Amino acid sequence: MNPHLYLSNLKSSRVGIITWSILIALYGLLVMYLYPAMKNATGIAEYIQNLPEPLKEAIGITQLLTPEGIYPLKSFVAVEFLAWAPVFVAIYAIFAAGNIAAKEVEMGTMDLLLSLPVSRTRLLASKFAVFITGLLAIQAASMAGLAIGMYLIEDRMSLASLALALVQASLLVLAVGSYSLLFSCIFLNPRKTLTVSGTLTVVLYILNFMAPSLGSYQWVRRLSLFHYYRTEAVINSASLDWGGVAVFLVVIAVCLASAMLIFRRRDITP
Amino acid sequence: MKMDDTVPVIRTLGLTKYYGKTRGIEDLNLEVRPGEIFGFLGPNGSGKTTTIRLLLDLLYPTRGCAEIFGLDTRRDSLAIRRRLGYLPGDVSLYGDMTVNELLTLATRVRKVDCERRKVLLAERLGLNPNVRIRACSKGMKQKAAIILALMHDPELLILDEPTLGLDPLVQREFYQTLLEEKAAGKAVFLSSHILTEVERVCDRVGIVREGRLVDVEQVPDLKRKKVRRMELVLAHEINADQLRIEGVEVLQQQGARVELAVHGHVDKLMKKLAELPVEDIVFPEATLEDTFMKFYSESKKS
Repeated sequence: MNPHLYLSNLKSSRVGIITWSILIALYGLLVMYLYPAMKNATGIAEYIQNLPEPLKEAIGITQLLTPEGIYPLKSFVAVEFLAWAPVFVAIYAIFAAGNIAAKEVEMGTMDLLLSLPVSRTRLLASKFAVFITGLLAIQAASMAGLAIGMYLIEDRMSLASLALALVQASLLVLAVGSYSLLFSCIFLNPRKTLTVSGTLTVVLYILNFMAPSLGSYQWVRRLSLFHYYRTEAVINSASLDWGGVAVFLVVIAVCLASAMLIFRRRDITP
Repeated sequence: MKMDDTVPVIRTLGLTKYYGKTRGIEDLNLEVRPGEIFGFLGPNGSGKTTTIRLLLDLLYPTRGCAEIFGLDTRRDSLAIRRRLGYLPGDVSLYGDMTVNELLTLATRVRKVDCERRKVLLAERLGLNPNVRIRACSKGMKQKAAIILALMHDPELLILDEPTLGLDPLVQREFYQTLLEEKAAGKAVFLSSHILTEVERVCDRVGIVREGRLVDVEQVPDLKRKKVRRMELVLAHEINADQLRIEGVEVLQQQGARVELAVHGHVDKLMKKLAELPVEDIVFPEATLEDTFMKFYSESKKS
């Protein structure tokens, strides 16, 4: 990684990162704000509780109500925030990582960067590091929004469990960003990259939801990254889902290594 | 690193690039020597930019290879880029930066102190470095890109259509800068489709057409070979034989109006015209097309 390119790119990405961070923090605050009104409205929780088991598994939650019939904060946060936030942040990942190589080539600025004494691998690493920084900022803002919200409503859940669930979510988003970068290096065309990365993400998401109803073909769920993002397990056990972590890390490593390899050998043609 | 005078600064051996089935450049063999300004002249689409992109390792050759400072352009690309300055044909810079921020970024990545040259070049080209690039005109962006290419005092400059968007006064300043770089022992590879630009600053010229190097000429030889059209309006019709002089060809005659093709020097023709009842002369600068037609027909004959 080249620190000067990293800082320069971080500076030009700051508005997007700050905007995403504010939005996600507000979403966290909103979820917490709604909880006091919802915790006794157990009808919604019962409705979700009565959904088919595979569908509940798909959103990562199987047990919403306590044996006493209370809709606890941790379940509410898991359903209303943790199940959706990674999908929103995945949109950031598709744009931020997908544009890394493709947009620079389309704009013609890649020529400028590659006329400097910096290797293609370092260049890509510097820009991907900016994406990771953005992702960390967004997840920190999520945590801050939820924590402040929790403080305001005076209801409590384990912040450590919440942080671990956000780490698991970050790895999922990092995997989405990694294949977006790979497509960016393959196509060197922003529109094509965003279309393919976006479509793949939607397909993986739907696959995770639809697979339980596919009878003997339920195993296809395992092909979806979202299948390995199980918030309930993380929140209840207060430890990372190591199986999911391993899958995400393998996808990230394979996609990043392939992206670097392809980009090193590509013709740069605006 | 000191430049070795015995090693060509640029050397290509059978350099070929195809984009699928489309020809970029074919079997290019050329050498640029230390301390010379080499013009790479050709019409749009002839393969000039492809050649430059191959030299900069932005493209991978289909066949052949290229060396800069005796180093392989693919294997030793980083070491080469430390020692060269590049001005792209179509300048694209980051709009959200100021010129100074961009130049500072390049300085830091290069890890060399360019401050003095940066300030000098900005003053010389009349560019305010504190202006945001988004607010810059095409000419100002071109000036910024020129400073970016020159500020680290590179041993070789690779310039693709460098004067695009520059006004005549800045062009003159830029040519002067190139000549000073040459005097300091630097080499320049300058691609252009403007014949007069190449004649003005270059020592040798490579003529490229349809992806092939047609000829490499010393500039005085090119000047001798170039063809210019002259249109004469006479007081009355004359016998065309009166204009049959060495290096002059009568292309057509319509009454008192005569169109000539003038090859090389004009001294004999001017002496002859002084004897004729000339009312008007139109003698524009030689076009690249006319010059290329000559090279093209010569290469076909051979």
